[in-house]
Amino acid sequence: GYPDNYTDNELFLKSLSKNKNLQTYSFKECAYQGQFPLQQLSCTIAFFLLHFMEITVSDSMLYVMAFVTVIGYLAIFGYSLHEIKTVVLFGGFLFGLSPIIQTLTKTISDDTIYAMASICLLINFCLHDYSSLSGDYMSKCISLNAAIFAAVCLASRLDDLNNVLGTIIFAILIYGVLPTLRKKTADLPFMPVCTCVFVVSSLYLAYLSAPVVIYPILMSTLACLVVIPLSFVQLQKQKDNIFGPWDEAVLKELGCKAGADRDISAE
Amino acid sequence: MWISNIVVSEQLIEQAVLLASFLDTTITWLGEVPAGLKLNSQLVHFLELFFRYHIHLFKGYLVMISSYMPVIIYSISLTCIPGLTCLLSYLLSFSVILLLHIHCFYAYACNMYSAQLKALVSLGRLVAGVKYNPLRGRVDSARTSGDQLILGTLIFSTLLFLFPTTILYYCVFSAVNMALVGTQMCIVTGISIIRTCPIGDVIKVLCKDSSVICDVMIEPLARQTDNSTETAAHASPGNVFVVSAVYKTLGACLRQTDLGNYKLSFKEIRTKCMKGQIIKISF
Repeated sequence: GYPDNYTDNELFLKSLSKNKNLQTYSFKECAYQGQFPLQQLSCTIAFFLLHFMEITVSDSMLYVMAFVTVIGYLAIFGYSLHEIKTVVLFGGFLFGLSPIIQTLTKTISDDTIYAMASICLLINFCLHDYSSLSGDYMSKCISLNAAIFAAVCLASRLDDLNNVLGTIIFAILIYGVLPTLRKKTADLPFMPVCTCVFVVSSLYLAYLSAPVVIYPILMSTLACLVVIPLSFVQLQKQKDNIFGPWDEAVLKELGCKAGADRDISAE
Repeated sequence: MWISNIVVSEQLIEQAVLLASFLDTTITWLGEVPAGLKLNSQLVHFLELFFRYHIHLFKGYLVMISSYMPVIIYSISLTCIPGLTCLLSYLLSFSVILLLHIHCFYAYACNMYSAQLKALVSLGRLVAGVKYNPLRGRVDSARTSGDQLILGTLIFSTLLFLFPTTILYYCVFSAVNMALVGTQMCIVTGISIIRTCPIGDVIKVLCKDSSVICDVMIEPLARQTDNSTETAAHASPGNVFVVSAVYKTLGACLRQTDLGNYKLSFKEIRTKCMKGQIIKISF
């Protein structure tokens, strides 16, 4: 007879199949998708650099920035009366809140503020919705809110009222309006050009104010576009998903008709 | 008679003016760096102006009632006629009238704190991307649009940074109000003790009044019949038992004093303090 732990070598795990319906990503796809985090990162670095450069924002610059934000918002979300009302309400609120925001954190030390802002923007970078799909993404609320909170923290450090308003409007522009625009135009062919523009402008800002930041920017460009996609593609070979008859049944309705002949089969 | 009334009323008004100046110095102290805490100067200046104006009104109020004070003192002395409890109750109401503005300050700080707390909790849920579902009584995930999120976060961060100032004002005025409520509770407890303890009878026994024939000793017997304890009163002669009878009677009555509507448990006080609801003795 057979021993108790006998396994037939031909029949055992015969219906085991590995990596069914596997989707492998090519290096080009990965690199293409890797440019979106790079854009977000360069935006964040530019935001910080602009804050520390302490540019005096004149009234006209402020109007131009507000105008661009408004146009961008209306272009994305539509021109209906509801949207225009939202924009007007928003503008009024910001205008009214900015003197309060100016003196919010006067009594809190510098280091605390910068640490808080950095952590919040890091949270924003990590939890941001980089996909171009239009489904619901649970943490996109937190990423946007963290970015706005960091903007308020940084804005409350400034002395000039125009600067405060400018910081907040700029933050809304690059963290609120721009990502939505990015999602909508993700498949357009000039996206790599946009990425180049972002990276070059952040490099230029770094060159103007703090040249030591150029190295991290270049390194992160390399990481986002080359190193991480390469390693992802290499690691794909390690994928080892096991399928078999023990998996849960997936119901698939085939043409459900009312009446006698219904044909529902489970696969 | 009138001279004593006027003297007492002058003393009382002087004390009330001292109280007003104490509140003034408190608010000035809060305006500078209090206890080393750095508060938001704009909000502190605004609240200082507000409370200073209220103290100005308080002083005017005191000037106004100082002319009526002798009459009030005379009416207080008249309430001695129905008994000590009447006098104490009148004093209780009078304390509310005279020190109304302490309660006002406390109410302002309380409302500010509770409103800010509620707003912070609600906006905090918005920042986290959830909302409260009143139908199910739980917190669900929410799909809020971008502009709502941005506005909500702006207001949330503003309120968050202004919160320590509000907390400090709330703590200070809550402490002052607690002192007032504490004295009121003492008076209320005194009134209920006087009402429940048979002090008149005890004094009669001690003075060996002729209207009391024998010594009465009341002791609670822990006789458990059908989950009820019976107290048996039985007469026993002798001086020795008088003292113990008085002691035991008073002890039993004190244990049974019930404050009724005026009861304030510590748990209740704690929850009301955390949520910012007004603590007061309601008459």
